[in-house]
Amino acid sequence: MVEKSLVVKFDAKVQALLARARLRVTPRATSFRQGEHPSPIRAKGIEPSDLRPYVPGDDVRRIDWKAFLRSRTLVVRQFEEERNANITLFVDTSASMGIGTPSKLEVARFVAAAIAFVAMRQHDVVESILFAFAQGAAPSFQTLWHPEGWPSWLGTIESAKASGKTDFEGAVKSFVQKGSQRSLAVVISDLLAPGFPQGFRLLTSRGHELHVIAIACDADESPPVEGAIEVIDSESGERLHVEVDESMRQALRQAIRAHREACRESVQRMGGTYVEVNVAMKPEVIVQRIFGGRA
Amino acid sequence: MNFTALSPWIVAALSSATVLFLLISHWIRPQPRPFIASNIAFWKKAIVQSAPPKWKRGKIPWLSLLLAVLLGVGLVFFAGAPEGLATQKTALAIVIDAGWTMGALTRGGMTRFERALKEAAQIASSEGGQLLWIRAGTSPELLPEIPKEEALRRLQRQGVDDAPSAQDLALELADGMLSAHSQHTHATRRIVYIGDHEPRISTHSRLEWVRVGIPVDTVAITSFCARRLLHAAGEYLFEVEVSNHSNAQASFRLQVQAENIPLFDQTLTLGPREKRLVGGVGSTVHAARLLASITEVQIDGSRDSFSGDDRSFAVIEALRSISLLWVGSPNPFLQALLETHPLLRVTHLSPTEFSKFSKALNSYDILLFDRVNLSDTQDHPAIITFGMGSVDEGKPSKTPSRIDWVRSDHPIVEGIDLLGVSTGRTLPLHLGPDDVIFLRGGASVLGATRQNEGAKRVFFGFSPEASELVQSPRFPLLLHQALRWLKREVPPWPKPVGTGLRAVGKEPITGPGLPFSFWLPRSQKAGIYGLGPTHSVALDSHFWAQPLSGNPEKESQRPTDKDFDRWVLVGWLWLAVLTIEVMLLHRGWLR
Repeated sequence: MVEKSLVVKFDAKVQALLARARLRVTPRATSFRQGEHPSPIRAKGIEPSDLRPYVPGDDVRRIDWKAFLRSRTLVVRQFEEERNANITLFVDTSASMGIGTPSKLEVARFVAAAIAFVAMRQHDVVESILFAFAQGAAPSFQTLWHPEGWPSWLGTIESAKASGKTDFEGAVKSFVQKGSQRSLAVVISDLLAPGFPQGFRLLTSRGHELHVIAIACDADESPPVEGAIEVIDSESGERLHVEVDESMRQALRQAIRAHREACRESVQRMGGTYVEVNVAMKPEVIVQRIFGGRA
Repeated sequence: MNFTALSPWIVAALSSATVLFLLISHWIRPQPRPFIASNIAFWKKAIVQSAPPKWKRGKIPWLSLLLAVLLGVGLVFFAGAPEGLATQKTALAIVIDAGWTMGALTRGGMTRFERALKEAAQIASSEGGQLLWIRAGTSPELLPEIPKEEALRRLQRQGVDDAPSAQDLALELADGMLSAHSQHTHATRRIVYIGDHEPRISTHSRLEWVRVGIPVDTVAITSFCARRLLHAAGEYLFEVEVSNHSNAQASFRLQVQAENIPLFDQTLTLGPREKRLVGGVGSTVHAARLLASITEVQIDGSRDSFSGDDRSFAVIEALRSISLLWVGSPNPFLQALLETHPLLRVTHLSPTEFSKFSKALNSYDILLFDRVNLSDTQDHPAIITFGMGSVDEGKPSKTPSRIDWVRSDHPIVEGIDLLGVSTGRTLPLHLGPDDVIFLRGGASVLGATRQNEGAKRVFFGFSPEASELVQSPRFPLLLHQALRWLKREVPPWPKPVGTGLRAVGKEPITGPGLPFSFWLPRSQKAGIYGLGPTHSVALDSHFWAQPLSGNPEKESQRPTDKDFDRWVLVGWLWLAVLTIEVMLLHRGWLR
């Protein structure tokens, strides 16, 4: 049932790509439940990982007798325990995500669904957080525990509207205060707001692995207008009269790129990964981008 | 140049409406297209990096609004020329001397006239008010309302005249025009006279003299005139006045020719600042043009700097032959006297023959009746009679009369010494109260004239028989002057060159009350020869002198202030409505 609905959402090419894709999570970010990711716990696993000297109290069934015959020293075998992972999707639904054709929010939905789909197939737990500051509203948390919950989770993602101000730091704080386990934190946003580096720092300080997917749009960097225009901020409503020419366009492009570059450096400095996609890209290209280093 | 002004109220209303219109149009002006951006902070950064200085960004719209308001109000004031502000304006008349002395060369190599045009161009460029151009040639010429460049081109094309300029009349004309104009506009009146002679008259307008040219050494013909001798038909006298306008001795050759026939040719020497009058006599019954010229001029230590005053012309008019019908008994004295006149064609009839004479008397210029009845000849225009009635009817006095009173200013006796001359026996005359007596002998009237409705009569109260008067040389002169008075026509040039001239003919010049133009043909083309301030002769009889007046034809074509106001208002409102409509459509407020 779930698989069928996914077939409807992704075309054949994307489906094929997602079938091969894998989300790799570093062992320190795995959860406690059994899964497909290697964990730092050495226990009764299937995959042998190492040998160590025998100490009293060890299970005698784990003594490697062949090694004893070779070296006359008692050693015991160690095994990796394979566990699942928690995937936390921070999806930006602020008003600025409504810009572009298709809109950045549509691409963000697609990316989030693709990651969730792959994670669900790997028996990982997906928690999505739609963050956009609205007066009196808290970030929306939605957890996908098992495939049966996919339609509901997907419905929540699809019903998200682009509105409100970007408040990534506030969303991270709410997430941390909730006492979440360590996870792979995937941030899907256009990053065109302050507070992202602070949020990244807070996540990594709590042991979360950081993966940032920046969604770019030509309408931001090279607006298709010329001459006198009135620029209206999509989130604050602030207005500004601007005379657009080539030099203005170039200066705007440089300002946005400098900001994204600062975000990328911040992410990499914290051991995270940074991927940038553009709304003009084809879906399969986007999938290859976001799973390129992990598929 | 705009001589039409709007009232201050209308200009104020237009200005207020213009300001209001500009403010409204600024308020509803087309707004820049909206563009929704993700984060305006990046735009602000981009503006800082690429935009002009901050003050320009903020102030340019307001500066442009201020500029538009100022331009709009200025335009209204410029078009309206409000009367209330006209006192701050200047109505300027530039009078450029175009007399013959303006042809003299200046130190820079250009003529005084060319220099004057340059001065005029500079003055006109710096003058923002209303401007009149007047050319002071042999007669003043008011140029039509044309642009400065066109006026200067026209003046350059016309050059200078060959006679002294009518400076006084030109200044009077300028003063009159400005005075008439200032009654409507209250503008400050100013006349700038550009010439080489100091203005001789005072004007009501402020008069400034821009002097061009400096005094130069020259030997000049300062006067040249010619007139026929009264007592010798066909003969004429000419006089030439030559002047040395230098502080050194000058020698030169003076020649006078009448139609290439030399009349005078001498080398003269004049001391510093000396004048000399030389003259001579010529003879012709035809018209003749006399030319006086100075050549081979030598001034000690200097040179003759102006050649325009080295030639001058005079004209002797042609004598007309006169047909005279003499009716009376044969008289050897009268016959001899009439035969001495070279232009007289005499037909003699006795009183008996005259009674049978059927030819129209009007075919004769003058009738002379020697004691003959005048009853059938009352309508003839020129008649000389000796006594009234026939010889038999005449009743001469018994005692001879002697002339003891002469009206010396009468043209018939002008220049003839007649006092004390005996006239023989007197003849009775029947005179009226309007007759003019010019000779008396005691209580008897010996000579009188009558002039009414074009008919002239000369009455002599003595017999042309042998007497002291008839036998003396004075009698031919008296009779010739009587003939001359009878045939005298009003000269077509009662005023000398330099006064205002207006010509009749096919061209735009007609009599009083009819349309005419300011434009006057140049004197050279018109055949007027200027010979100084007091002598002139015109060849063409269709010229006569009259002072210039305004231009009624053009005045009547000028639109009234009321018409002008209405059209300005309509045009302004139409433009305003169109502009507002376009702006409202742009904003989507009109569908």
